[in-house]
Amino acid sequence: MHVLPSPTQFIPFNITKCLLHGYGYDHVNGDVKIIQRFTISKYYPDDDGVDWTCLPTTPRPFWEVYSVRSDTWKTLDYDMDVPEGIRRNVYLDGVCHWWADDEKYMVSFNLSSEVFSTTLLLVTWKIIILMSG
Amino acid sequence: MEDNYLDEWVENYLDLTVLNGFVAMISKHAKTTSFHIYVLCELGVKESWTKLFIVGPLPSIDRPIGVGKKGDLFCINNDEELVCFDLDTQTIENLGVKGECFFCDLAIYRKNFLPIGRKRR
Repeated sequence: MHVLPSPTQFIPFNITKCLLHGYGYDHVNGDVKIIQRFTISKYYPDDDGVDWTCLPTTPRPFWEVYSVRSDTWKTLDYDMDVPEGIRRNVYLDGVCHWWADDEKYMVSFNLSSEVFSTTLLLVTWKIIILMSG
Repeated sequence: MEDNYLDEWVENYLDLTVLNGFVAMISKHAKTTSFHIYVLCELGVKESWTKLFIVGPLPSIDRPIGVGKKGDLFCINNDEELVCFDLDTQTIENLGVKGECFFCDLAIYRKNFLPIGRKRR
């Protein structure tokens, strides 16, 4: 499978971090999709006399979806915040799920409708998480 | 579906996985060395987390690392070896593979999912 590199990886003067991924089958459109979330922070080189603060403001984190069928990356126009420290991601029937072990909810993304949703976890599990901390 | 184990949960273990076509959460009850398996029946509905079953006691098992194709639970035992736990027969099979507990993951191999190679233009 050939996947074009995302243009986000080449934003100048910035450090792009991609901590969340998911991929799977879009049953509705007969497509295979990849989803990833980028967080961007400004790159400040050491004191070399350049005023780096004049750079444009750092973009907010955002999600990108790659479609194998159209061979393109698309930026989603809304952001779903997912806590750092994601522990596990699973895929099932066209939906990607992410869960962070210090959080009370799971985040899901439907690859066909391209809509996010959240599911709260049980309080019992929150107790386990707290006790391990 | 909520239980109050506040005093009993002494060791952290909680993991998200897929089991028999459901999103599932496995938690370890350290005191009894048993694993509680919940499945999510409806996405977005907290109340639909359903406790499916409890397996154990399994004192030799440290933690599950994933679920196989037939619903077998692949785990790391206390000697950091890969074992397969059959949920139907409740038997443990040692697979003779050594691995460090926190660096193991399970992936299911599927043949011909998509042709591998550069897309033709």
